[in-house]
Amino acid sequence: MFSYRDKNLFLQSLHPFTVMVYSGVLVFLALACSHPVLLLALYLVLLVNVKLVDGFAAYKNFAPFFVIVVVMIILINPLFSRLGGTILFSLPELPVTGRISFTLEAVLYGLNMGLRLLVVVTAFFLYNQAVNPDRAFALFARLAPGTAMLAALTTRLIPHLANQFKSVKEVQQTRGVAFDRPGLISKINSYYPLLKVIMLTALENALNIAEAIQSRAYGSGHRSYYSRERVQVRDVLVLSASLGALAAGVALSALGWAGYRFYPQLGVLFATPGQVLMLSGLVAAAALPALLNWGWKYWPYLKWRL
Amino acid sequence: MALFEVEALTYYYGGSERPALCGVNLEIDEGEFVLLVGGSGCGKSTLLRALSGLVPDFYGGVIGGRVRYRGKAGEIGFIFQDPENQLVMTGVEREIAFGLENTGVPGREMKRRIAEVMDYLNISALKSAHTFDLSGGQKQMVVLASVLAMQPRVLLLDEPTSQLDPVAAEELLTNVRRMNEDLGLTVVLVEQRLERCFHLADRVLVMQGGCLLKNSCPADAVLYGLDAESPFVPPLPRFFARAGSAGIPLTVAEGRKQIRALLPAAAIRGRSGGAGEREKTGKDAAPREKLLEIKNLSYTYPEAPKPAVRDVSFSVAPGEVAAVIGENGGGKSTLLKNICGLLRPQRGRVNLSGRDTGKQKVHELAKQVGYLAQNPNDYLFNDTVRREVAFGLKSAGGPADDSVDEILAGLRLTGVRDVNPRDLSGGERQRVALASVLVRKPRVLLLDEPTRGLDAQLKAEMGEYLMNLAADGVSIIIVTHDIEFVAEYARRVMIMFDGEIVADGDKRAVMNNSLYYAPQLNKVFRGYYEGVVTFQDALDTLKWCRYEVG
Repeated sequence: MFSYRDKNLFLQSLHPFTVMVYSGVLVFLALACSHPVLLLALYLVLLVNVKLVDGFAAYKNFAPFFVIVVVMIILINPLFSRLGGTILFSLPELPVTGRISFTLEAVLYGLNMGLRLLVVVTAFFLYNQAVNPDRAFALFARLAPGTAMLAALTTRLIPHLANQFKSVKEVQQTRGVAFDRPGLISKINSYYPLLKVIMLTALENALNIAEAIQSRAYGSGHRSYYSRERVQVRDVLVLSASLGALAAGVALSALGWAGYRFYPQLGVLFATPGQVLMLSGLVAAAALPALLNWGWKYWPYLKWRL
Repeated sequence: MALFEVEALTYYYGGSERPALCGVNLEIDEGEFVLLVGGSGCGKSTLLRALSGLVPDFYGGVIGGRVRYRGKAGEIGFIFQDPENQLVMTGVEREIAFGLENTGVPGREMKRRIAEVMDYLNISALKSAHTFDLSGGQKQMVVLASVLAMQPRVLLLDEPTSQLDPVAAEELLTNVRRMNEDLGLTVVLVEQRLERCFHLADRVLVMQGGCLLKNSCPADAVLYGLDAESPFVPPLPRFFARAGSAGIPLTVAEGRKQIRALLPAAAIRGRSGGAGEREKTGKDAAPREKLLEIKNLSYTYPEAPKPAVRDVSFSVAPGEVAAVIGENGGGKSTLLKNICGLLRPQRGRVNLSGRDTGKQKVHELAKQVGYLAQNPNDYLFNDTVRREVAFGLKSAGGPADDSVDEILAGLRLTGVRDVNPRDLSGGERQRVALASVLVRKPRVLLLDEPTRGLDAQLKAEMGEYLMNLAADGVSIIIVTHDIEFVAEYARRVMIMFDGEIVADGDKRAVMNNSLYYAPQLNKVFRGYYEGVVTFQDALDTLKWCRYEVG
């Protein structure tokens, strides 16, 4: 859902490319590293950033969805994983699956996977809160105009479809359709016409938008750009911190310190002081934008310097 | 030398065997303001698209004849009906810049043009706003700004006010007229609410069935329309032509001059109270049977700072036609949704035949309360019109019966009963949506902006159809901005402001002398005869006056 609002905040003042690199590095780290302490730290850094872009209210709307997905991962992983030596409890013997045992290791592994997913999703959420879609369009239109236009229209389409879903559902209710009937077949029968209306209208609107865009000379030839994004001190700092975090992540992976052993039994969290040091350095680099963000908000001198 | 030359233009949309345009010949000079009128599907929009080049460039199809534009490419601006489908960016400033970027205007020049156009249209305050947060009128104004920033020589507008409330529509048309006068822009406008724009035009083109029937000044177009019994003549000139006036006025000011010439001097000096005295106001009338009763209804949307509807009470008798008018965001649609059960009153109650509807589910209530939403497209998903209308019966668990065909006939949809509703014009879609509500034979009918997108002929037909329903005992509540429609067909009028009903009574009592919610004819007679609201009122008053005084 589109929830971006211009509030002149630090992350919103960064070059869209900088925010893209920062979010991209966090996503890469979450995918490349599986150390639970690192993932937890990255998640906390992201939450602080979300808070500093005043995105908590919007984030809370997504929270139930996140929780459901994480709980599902935690529950499903032990069903398929027979690894782990510390049995918490076992289900009765079943014909196909046999006896399923829930082990502490499998549950914690699932929890770690859920945390990883949270970091990835929250990094995307942060990007959406920090970058004005129009600025992103202006940036990417230079590289891939067609894709950028598609992305811009999709950004507009999603909230529009959500509103339309609501109004078509209301119309269908007033035509006698009951959406609260129990049973999958009843639900499909109720929602099928609704989705059909939305699809048909979206197709018609697509044609109308295409016509309007053509009438405003889109694709008619050489394009100019309304504003030039400038790279400023703050961009250099955040880009440096992002690249530092990336380098630390790559080094940790190369040294085998980015992961954590869950099976067959839980390993030690930190193998050497060097691992702690590198992980701390990575988290500090990842947290630098949040720190600058805080300074931007509460320290006018720093804001001026940045 | 004309700016546009159209010669023997004939056009078929792809896959269609019927021409959308048929041998159109036309010339439009630079700086002219041309109004294009005609019924739904008569080819007005296609002609505009042909002038802009979108036909056949965008639509394909088969074209014959010639459209010649004596200017450069990119000088023609086009504004469509729905602002929602013209906005691309999320910010207003970037939206205005979009067209300039597409034509390669340098950055500094863009900034200057954007600043100028925002000042010119008085929308500078919206510079940092998001397009999502704008009202329909503001959105259309941003679209106008984005077209104007491209410095067009020609502005083509296809029913640009059809989605707007009267205030926003008036503002938009005023700005278009200003551009025509100040900047010398050539304007070609397609519009359904003719009373708003007939007087603005230098020339009127009347179309029917893809052909250009008349190409003349507005006064001649009025005379032609009256001879041909065309509905595309605004009430004001129609009245004066019918009254045998020597000149045909197009504005209220001209009309007031004419009325002084038509009325006997004694009548002007001495008369007050006329048609308005002929009917009692609703509040004075004897107690009536109450089919629908609203008691102290209040509703506040979640996270809204104040109620959308506040302490509203009224009742509606069987067969009564009541209109709810008022500002955008005044709570009119919220009121209707509370009545049909889509929203539940947080205070107060809605009684239907004396029973509280609070515990009835929406789909159960739908058997007695029909609700027509603003957008007819939200109804249409079946393969044929007949199936679409029968869907209401099917969802109630019954088979399609003869009532479907009766309703189709009543709304003049029999000819398209086997056509996919998505292939119909806007006006036809609106009637299909209405038919799919009426098929359940509701006792109370709630209509939210039912005349939006309808031409004058269809509007008159819908009005007559609603009158017949009311005669059969159906209570009708219409939420609309269409003052002329309310004046003709409603019996009772309620004005909503800031969630409250601030006026409620007989239409003559409420609309008479209203600064804003009065029809044109009432404004013409204001001060001479009170209570003239409908076309018939005006004719009766003139007749009475000539007989009594003259």
